Amino acid sequence: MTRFLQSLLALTLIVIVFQIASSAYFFFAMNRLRDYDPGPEYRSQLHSRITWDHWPFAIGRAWQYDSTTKTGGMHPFIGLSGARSPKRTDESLDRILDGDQLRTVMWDNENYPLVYIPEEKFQKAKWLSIIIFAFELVLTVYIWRKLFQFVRLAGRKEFFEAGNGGRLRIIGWFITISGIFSFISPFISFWLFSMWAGIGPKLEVRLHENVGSLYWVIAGLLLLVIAEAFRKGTQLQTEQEFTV
Amino acid sequence: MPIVVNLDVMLARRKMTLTELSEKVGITLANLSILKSGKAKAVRFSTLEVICKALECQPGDILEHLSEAEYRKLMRE
Repeated sequence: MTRFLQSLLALTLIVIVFQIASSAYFFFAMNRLRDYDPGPEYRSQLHSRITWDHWPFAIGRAWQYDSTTKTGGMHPFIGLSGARSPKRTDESLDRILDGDQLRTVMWDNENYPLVYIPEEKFQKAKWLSIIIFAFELVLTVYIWRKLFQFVRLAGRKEFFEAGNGGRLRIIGWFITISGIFSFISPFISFWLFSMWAGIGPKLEVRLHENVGSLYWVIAGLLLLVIAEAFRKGTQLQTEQEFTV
Repeated sequence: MPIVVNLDVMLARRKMTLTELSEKVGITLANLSILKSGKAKAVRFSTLEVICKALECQPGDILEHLSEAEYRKLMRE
C-alpha cells in the first residue's frame, strides 16, 4: 500500500514537473512570439492574461494557449503571458481590445478572468509574476516534502509517532488557505496588479464562477479534522506505551 | 504530574534489584524502568498487585502524591 501511494505521488509529481516545464516553454515561446507582427491594427497592442490557480494540486490548467489569439503561458498563483493578437472577430474580444480601457472577460468556458494590458505595464507586472512564482516554488517544494514524508511512513509502526499529525495539519492548512485564496483570487490579483502595474480599476470580477475552489476548502478542513484525530491517536498511543 | 513512584526506595528497603523484581513479577525490565524513572503515564492495578506482593508492601508505599511546589523542587534536584 505504501509503495502504491508513493508511486502515485511520484507520478503526480512527474506530471506537475512536466506541466511546469511546458508552461515555462510556452512562456518563453510567447515572448518570442511578441516579435511576430500581426498587422497594423494590433501592432502596438500587447495582451496579457492574469490568472490564478490552485498550485500545485490542480495540474490540468498550468498553461493555456489560444491558437486564434496567439496568447498563452504559465500561471502559478498569478501568471502572465503576453503576445500580440491577430485580428479576431469574436465580439467579446473586440470589446476588450479598446485602447487602454481595461476590462476582464471570461476565457471562453474557463473561469479565469482575462486582462489585456499595454506592453510597458506587462513588463512591470511580469516581475511581480516572477517573484510570486519563486515564492510559490519554495512553498511547493516544502509542501511536497511534507507529503512525501507523510506517505513514506504509512503502514509503519512509527506512523503515529513521527510528527505526522503536524505534517497533516500543515498540508490541511495549505489546502484550506489556498482554496480561500483561489476563491478571492480575482480581487487579489487585480489589486496587486493595479498597484504594481498601474492597471485601472475597470475590472469585472465574477466570483460565482470561482465557487468550485471552495471544494478545496472543504477538503482542507477535512484534512485538519483528520490531523486532529491523528494528534489524539498519537496521544493515546503514547499513553498506552507508557502504561505499565 | 505530581505523583511520584518510590519504587527505588522500596527496592532498597527490601534489598532487591530491579532485575530480581522483574524476574519475580514477570514484568519486563524496560517497563519497570519506565515506572521507576517516573515516565509512566498510568499503572495497571494488576501491575500494582504483583509488585506489592513481591515487595510485601502497600500501594501507598510505592506511590506518593506531592504538592506542585514540592514536585517542582524534586524535579529540579
